[in-house]
Amino acid sequence: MSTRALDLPAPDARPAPRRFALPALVLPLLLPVLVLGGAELAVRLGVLRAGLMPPPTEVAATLAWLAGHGLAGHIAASTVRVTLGFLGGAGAALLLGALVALNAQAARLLDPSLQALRAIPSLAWVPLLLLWFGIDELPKLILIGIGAFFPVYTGVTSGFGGVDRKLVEVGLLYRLPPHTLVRRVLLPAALPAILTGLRTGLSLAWMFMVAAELIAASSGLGYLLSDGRETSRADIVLAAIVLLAVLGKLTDMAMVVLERRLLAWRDTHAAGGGAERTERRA
Amino acid sequence: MSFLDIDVDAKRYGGRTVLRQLRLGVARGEIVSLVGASGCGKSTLLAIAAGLDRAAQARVRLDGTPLDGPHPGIGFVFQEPRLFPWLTVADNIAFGTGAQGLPPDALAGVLEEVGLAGLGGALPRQLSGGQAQRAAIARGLFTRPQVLLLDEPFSAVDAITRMKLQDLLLRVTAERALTVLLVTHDLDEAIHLSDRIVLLDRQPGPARADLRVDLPRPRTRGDAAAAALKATLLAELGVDINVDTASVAH
Repeated sequence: MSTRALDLPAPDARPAPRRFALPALVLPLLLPVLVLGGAELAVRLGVLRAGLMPPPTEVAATLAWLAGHGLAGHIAASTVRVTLGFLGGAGAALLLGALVALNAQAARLLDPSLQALRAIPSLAWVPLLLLWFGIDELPKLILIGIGAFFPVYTGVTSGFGGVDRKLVEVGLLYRLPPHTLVRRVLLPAALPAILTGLRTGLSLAWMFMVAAELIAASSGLGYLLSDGRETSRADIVLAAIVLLAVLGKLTDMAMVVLERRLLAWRDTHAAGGGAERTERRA
Repeated sequence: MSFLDIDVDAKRYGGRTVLRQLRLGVARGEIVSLVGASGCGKSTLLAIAAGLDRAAQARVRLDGTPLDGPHPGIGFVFQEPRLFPWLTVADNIAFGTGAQGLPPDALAGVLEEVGLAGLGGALPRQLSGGQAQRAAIARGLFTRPQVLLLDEPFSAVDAITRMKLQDLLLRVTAERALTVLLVTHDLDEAIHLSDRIVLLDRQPGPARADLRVDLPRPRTRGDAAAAALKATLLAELGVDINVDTASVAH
């Protein structure tokens, strides 16, 4: 202490000796394990009714049983819907967003209308979609597409809109033609916001897939949810919820990997840290 | 007619006139510094020379040829490095050449020239402030311009780095026979580098003063002749030279 003039005179405030250090992998698992263990115990002790709150072991058994009875088909149906709906919605959003961001005329023409549409809660489209397209695949895909569209659109427009004027000036100095300026300066600079929009859009696509399948479907995880409710099988409902969580997390992790690869150049606070980035700016 | 000729009728920002009736010529191979108070339009004048300001009523001629917009014969170094964070140092430097099929020898040469040998593969975030500005200078040089414009290029680095970068600029200017127009706040820098110093007034109009710097090169920083010249400059700028002259340059 005495050798360092700037040490604060706080003799009792030495850093606490580390009593135990939890390994980094244990801490995130602590809460789920406690909750699941508690649920299991509560049912076994008769505190909770097994009919309403099936214990985790029973949900696991149900999952195993479902695996032999068409679970793969349900997962595939939902995944295909999310994929197609997301590709359609995000693709349209990338095109329209880029058009609005890069062309002032297009912005005046399209942006006010799109902002007005954005204000409509997306689920309000459901009755109309059912009226127009029946209960076929198309209304489901459109609903998922609508869900994915707006986060991506917002990400693209704010991404292009937020590009540093100073970097654009460098591009102008080297006389880049407009399309080259977009490709070499604007797009890379806007990429972080665009990827954030895509990531949010993907998670919303999963959300809207469930909504679409809950309303009318004969396959998919949303169908499992409503089937479980109608047959009073809380274990099936919980099994479907677990699967949705796993699938949503897996695709989100894929987006994070993509983001890290494409944005490795970024000089961010989280870069180099071990913690997963979870910022959502859209 | 000078090698680089800038002739500004007027430049307005909103209702405010920043430049008016200003003519500036730079001879081939000459190093000219623009000094003056903040907001007197020095950087605006430089942007006009670079062809970046198309709203100004002005004409720029390079070797007698009228220019319309940015010209490959004129390189520009900004106050900040302005490197693209997603490109390596090498790709940043070669940005103006289209990046595809750039000659690796030329790149290694210019990296060596600005003292960044071996750092071509680094990303901008891995560079120090001085290194980033060296990369920016290399980018300005890479397209082999005849004229180099610099907008307070060394104002954001520490004093020692600034002197090193000033000497780097003098070296490449001599080696490449460049014509240089430099905006600076730093009178010592202007005196150390320039053949001529042009003083801009806060009131828009012709240059307030145009002083030759007839000190022999290589120059020693802070010698007596330089001090005398600095006193003259300060007097032109309306600073009382009997007070501490060292601290008023900024």
